[in-house]
Amino acid sequence: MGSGMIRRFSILASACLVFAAASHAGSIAGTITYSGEVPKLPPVDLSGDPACAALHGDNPPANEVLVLGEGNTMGNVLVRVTKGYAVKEYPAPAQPVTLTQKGCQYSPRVFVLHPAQTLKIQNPDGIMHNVHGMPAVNTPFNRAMPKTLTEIEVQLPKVEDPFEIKCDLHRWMHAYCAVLDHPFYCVTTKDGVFEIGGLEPGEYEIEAWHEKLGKQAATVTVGADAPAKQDFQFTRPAKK
Amino acid sequence: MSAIPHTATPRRDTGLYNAKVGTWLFLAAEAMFFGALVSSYVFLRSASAEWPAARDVLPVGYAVANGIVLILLATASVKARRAARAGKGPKWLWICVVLAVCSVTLVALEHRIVGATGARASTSTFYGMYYLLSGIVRIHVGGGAVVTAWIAGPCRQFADIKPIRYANWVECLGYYWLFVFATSLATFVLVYVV
Amino acid sequence: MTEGIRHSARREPGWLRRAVSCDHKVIGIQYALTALLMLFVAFCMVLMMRWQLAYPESPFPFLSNFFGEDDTRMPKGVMLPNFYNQLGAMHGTYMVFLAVVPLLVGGFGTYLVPLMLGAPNLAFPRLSRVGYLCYLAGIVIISFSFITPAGPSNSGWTGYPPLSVIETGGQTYWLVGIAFVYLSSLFLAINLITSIVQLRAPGLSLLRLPFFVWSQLVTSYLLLLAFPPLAAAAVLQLMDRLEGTSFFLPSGLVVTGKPLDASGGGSALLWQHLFWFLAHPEVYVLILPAFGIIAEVIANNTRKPLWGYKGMVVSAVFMGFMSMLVWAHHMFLTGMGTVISTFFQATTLIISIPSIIMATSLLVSLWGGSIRFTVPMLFALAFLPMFGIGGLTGLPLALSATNIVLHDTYYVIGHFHYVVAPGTLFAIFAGVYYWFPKVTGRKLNDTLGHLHFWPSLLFMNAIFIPMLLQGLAGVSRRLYDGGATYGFGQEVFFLNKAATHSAFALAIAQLPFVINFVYSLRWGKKSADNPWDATSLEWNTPSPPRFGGNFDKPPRAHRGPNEYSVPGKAKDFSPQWEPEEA
Repeated sequence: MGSGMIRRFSILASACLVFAAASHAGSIAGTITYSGEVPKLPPVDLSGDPACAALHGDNPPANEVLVLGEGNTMGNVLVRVTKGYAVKEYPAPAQPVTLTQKGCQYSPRVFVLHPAQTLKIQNPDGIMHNVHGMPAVNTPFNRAMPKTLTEIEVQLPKVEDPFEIKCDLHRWMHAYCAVLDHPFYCVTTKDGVFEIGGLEPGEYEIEAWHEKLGKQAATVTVGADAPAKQDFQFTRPAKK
Repeated sequence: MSAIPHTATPRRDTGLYNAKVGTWLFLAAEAMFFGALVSSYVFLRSASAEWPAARDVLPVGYAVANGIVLILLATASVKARRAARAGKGPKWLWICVVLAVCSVTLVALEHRIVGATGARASTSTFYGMYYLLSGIVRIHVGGGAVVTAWIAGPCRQFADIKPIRYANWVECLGYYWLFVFATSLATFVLVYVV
Repeated sequence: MTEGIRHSARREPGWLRRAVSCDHKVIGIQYALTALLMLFVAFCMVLMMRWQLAYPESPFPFLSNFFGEDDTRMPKGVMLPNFYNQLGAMHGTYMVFLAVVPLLVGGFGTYLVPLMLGAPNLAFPRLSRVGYLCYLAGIVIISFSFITPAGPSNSGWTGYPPLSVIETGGQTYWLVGIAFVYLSSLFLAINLITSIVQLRAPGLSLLRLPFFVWSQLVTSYLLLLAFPPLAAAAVLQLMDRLEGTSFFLPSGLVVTGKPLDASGGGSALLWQHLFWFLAHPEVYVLILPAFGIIAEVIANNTRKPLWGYKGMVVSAVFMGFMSMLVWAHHMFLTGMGTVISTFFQATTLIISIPSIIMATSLLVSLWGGSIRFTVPMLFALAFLPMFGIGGLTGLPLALSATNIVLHDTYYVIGHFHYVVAPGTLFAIFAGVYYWFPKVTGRKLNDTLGHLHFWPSLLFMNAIFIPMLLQGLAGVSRRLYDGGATYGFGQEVFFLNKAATHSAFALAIAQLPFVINFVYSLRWGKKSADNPWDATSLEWNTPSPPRFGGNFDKPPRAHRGPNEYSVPGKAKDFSPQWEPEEA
């Protein structure tokens, strides 16, 4: 795993924790783990574009379809509250979300956007990309980014479950975006820990989503003091 | 302005007047057009896994009735041609128009009945082909009706000024109606019988 | 100027009345000018594409500030892939459907055929006016898609499904536009055939027709019989796009990872069959009238009858017939089966025979002639080897075994451009230089003509030879970056620059022609009625021919079309209209 990825995870993790610390009300916390035989994923095959391969030399990036930490904790899982939170207008974060294509890899791989928030897609390497977002509710977008086009902006004004963003030129590039109009979510890092704060006491439905292993739901009762516990365990679906 | 030769009287070596040559060429192109549609039908039908029997799912009675109307229409067009050559009135042309309108109405009713079963052109390739072929025949009959009415009505004055050319027009129109009858017959056989 | 023309000039209606009239000369000129404009537009499109191929993702000169940063076509002058695809589709569409065919058949055919027949007009004057309007409508509809937000069609000039059915650009505009172009060429074909059959002057038997008229006759039959299947296919594809049918969509189609919401059960191959049933004869529509023009120019400038006139006529007719039986040689790679491939391979090799007979006849016609190296003759002489390269490079494509290697490479692009660019286009230029005096009453300037011809010959080859080489190296066609990111493209990538620089040089080489054209219209040297000492009937008219009637008195043909240097005659040409001396 490259140093950029570690930095990225630390940023994400701190975002979750800061949010949790800022909340005075109840919260939900837990850990996502993977059970079963861990598949051996070969590193990403960059041979399709010599320019991308040159950026990584002899050290191709690891496959991020399954990101596991110590004790098979899972990263890149989106945990969000689906029911029970107060339905009102939550302000959009001031900063736009930035999706970069550095090293012919999308980063972050899984992220959440507020409907009023702008998605900035950057192309820092000067390599041609074609960003193809395939939302079902919002308007799909399909934007080519030649080397001269270093940044484009995309608006996704409707709430939507996670959908795929891929590069039509580099088939290993995948990112997943959800559009949520509330702040009650968390994307896990390698340590698999999530914590969703700022919740009034009451009963909530939450959902954990992974790009390949599907989604799981749970009902959680949040109390006033200690965080409610809810762990999820993903496993590989049986072969048909 | 010099006159264009052979607009009315036939050219001696070919034995044809211009409009007749033009009509035949037009019908040759039309034949290729229908030929392509029919080939597409055969191609798709032979390549498809399931193809319903048209007799069971389509109201065959309407198609038969439409075929009879078109036979009458073709006959009327022959009568109209003889009448025009003899310098008589446009009675048979108007009969052609009425029959054409009947045919268009019949197809419209048939489409409504098929549509009521929930079958759309997008339901399957079978229904797509059915709507397309019957629709194309319908457009041809409707277009022919407009032209026939135009020749029987507004152009009627030319029957006195240029009687030979007027009779030529009616004759060419008759070729068109015979062609429409032949193609719709072929379509009927293809869809319902084969 | 003759008494007749001054007399008629007094009676002639104003330019507006003439512009909307049904005179075949007016309509022919309108066809030709419109088609020349389309030729220019399509050439500009390809210049932009060539820039992108040589300098991928670099701003087009002068255009970097023309387009904003958020432009969906060329942000800051850099062409995006989708726009490249759209330009590619439109370049082919404009060139084939809106430029070359209307120029050859609508322009040259409508203008010249009645004159060569000794007729006052086409058989159906109003129909030819309607046909021209349909052609204009087709242009407007297809061009309109450029200003829609989604832009024009991006699925190639061949419109192959399933892409063309599911694409979100202007494919619907394309289909409707093509339907109008179909109507236009249908009316043209009916008109020309009827005129040739019915309106020949007394004494003008079929074997006394100039070869140009024969080429137009066969071409018209091809348009008449081959275009309707494409019209039917366009109707089917419109149903697929608008009504949700699946005529061209197979079952189980998955688009960007999702099953397509359609009933399926159709066949994408069906479109290819219907399309190529038109589009292969269309290739002969592009080349046969070119042969017709070249035959007239060569006979006139060698001062000899055409060698093998009858053989050429038979070849043209046979070629027209065979051209309807070769379409699936565009589909060797589709897995339609070796038996069918063998059949189409055989027919394709057979159809090369009439082409070779015609080209050889023209070549042998040069033998022993006292050749006048006029500008039209230069273009005609260049046509022969250029068409030869185009034809011979087609042979490896005709064989299904070698076709599998070369299919969809730049070799194919080089091959067919050799046929239509230095081939057909040179014939068009030869025709323009040859008949300009007849149409306008003034000659084009010779010096500017030489300045046009020699650089054009050089740069045409410098554009298309690199393409043949790139194709042999395996570079695929339709690549947005010209092969820059592909391993196999590296060694021949530099050839993109050679071709692109040549294309821009070719553009500059057309300037003398444009200047010459505009200058000569007004200030060119006045031309006699028969400046080239030619023999066919169109030279028996005043220059320009009289509006609304052509001939001062109805002509009569007394002999064959190319009676040059008849032994025992005082002058070296015996026009068709001059009676035999007693």
